[in-house]
Amino acid sequence: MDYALQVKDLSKVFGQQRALQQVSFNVKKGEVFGFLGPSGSGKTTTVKILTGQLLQTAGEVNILGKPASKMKDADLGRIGILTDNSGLYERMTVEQNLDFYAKLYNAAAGRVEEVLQLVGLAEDKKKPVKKLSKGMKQRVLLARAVLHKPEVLFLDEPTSALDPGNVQKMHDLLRDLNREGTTIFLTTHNMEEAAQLCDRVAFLHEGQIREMDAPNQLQRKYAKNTIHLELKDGRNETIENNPTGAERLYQYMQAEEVLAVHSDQPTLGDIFIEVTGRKLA
Amino acid sequence: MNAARISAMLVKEYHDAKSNVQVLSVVIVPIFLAILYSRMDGEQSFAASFVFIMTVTFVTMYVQALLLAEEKEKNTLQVLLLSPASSADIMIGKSIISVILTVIVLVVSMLIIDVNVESPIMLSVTLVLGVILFVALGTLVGLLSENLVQTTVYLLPLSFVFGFGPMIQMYFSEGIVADILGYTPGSFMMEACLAAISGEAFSSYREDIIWLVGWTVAALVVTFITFKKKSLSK
Ligand SMILES: Nc1ncnc2c1ncn2[C@@H]1O[C@H](COP(=O)(O)OP(=O)(O)OP(=O)(O)O)[C@@H](O)[C@H]1O
Ligand SMILES: [Mg+2]
Repeated sequence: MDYALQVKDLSKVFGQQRALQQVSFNVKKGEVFGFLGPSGSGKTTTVKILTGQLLQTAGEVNILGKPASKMKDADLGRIGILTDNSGLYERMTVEQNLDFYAKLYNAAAGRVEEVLQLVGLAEDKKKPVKKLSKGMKQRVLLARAVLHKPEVLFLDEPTSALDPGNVQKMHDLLRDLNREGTTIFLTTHNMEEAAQLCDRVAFLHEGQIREMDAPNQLQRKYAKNTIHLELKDGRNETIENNPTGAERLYQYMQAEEVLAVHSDQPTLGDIFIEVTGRKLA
Repeated sequence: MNAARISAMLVKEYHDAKSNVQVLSVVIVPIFLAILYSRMDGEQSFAASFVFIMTVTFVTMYVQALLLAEEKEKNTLQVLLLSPASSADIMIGKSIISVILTVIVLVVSMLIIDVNVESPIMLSVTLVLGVILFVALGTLVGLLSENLVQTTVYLLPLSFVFGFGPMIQMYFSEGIVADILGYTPGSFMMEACLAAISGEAFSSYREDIIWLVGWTVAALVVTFITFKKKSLSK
């Protein structure tokens, strides 16, 4: 199997604090992998170790078949990174910023114009970065991370400052990139985003992976065997998915009282709370 | 090293520096002094040497330190280090921009003061040494400071001790302070500049040049070690 990321028994200790404990997972080439967890669970720490910015305390971390800590300049050209502490040159325009990075990364000619269109900033390209809103800056950062069509893309909460319209635009961009072969490692608090984008997700809690699978597999695993009824008089009722429940449903339907029938499919957010016993930040 | 990446760094530094008020104000200082001196009568060789020292301390060292510290403060250095650009590309690009600014200021102030240089080659040698020395010191300051405010904290004492030795020395005719100041890079630069401008025999300031070389090598070594330690190298 061809893996983009291989992580085995990864641990990280900051002084007294154990930020990551025995974290293991693999990400296949071409996969979109979601790394989900509440604030302080160790997501950013993991991204930093995967991209060679931080050294692990123990365990093995390989990216594109090489230890993350041994990445050379040329290897860095194969990955793209958007972290929560990435900066831009504030006095320069959006276009000047992207032109600069395009040259550093040896991106294809015309690619800057293309990504400006994709993130919806073509109109604003002559504006100095310091005059942009937070969401616009985040889009410039994303544009920069994908300029060179990286083989592996790391996104640490890429849509936290975006409005729903722009989130949709970013998702489209990421899907297109993924279709062209980019492996995506995405951290987010946003369970809906994860459910929409990710082939697989891992739930991180207090530095440990508590659950890992495809979103629909998890939904099946944690599905409650119940059906939810909305009745015409405004009442809601939950019934078991068994002959007793069928009897009740039959009665309601006979009496023409049923407004809607829902299966109680848990959302990723529901599953997360169940797994970690904790509210999302 | 990669020429395309270095030239990309240069274009970037140019776009970024042209609207950087701090850099512009630092560039103005030596030119302003040169204009002032050109209107006073007095020893032109002294005025020129003084302005040269001001230029390497204020323009070269400050610009180098400011640009580097700002990249740290604004989290753009981390992005550069995570790019395929090598740390050599990054540091060379940065140094070239401070050197270009220095050369412009040096030429402009020389034209303003209109000094007659007897040994241009030896003056150039002295200035090149001074520029390398203060690029190294500016880099060191940039590496040690986490933000722009810290840069100033390091730069002020450093420019006084390393650059303005000869000016401070004027207030201490003798004694231990004057002796120590006589061994600072600024003092050696001053002696060598004065001698080169008035065309003295090289033997009379050979020792100043040797000391200057020593300081430059020492600064380069310390800066390089700090660079490695700060793990800016990949
Ligand atoms: N440099 C550091 N020194 C000490 N502790 C650190 C350091 N970096 C992170 N930590 C600690 O490690 C834990 C995990 O932090 P991390 O930033 O990885 O969380 P996160 O999941 O990214 O959170 P968020 O969603 O808020 O970004 C936290 O408890 C944090 O305090
Ligand atoms: Mg984080």
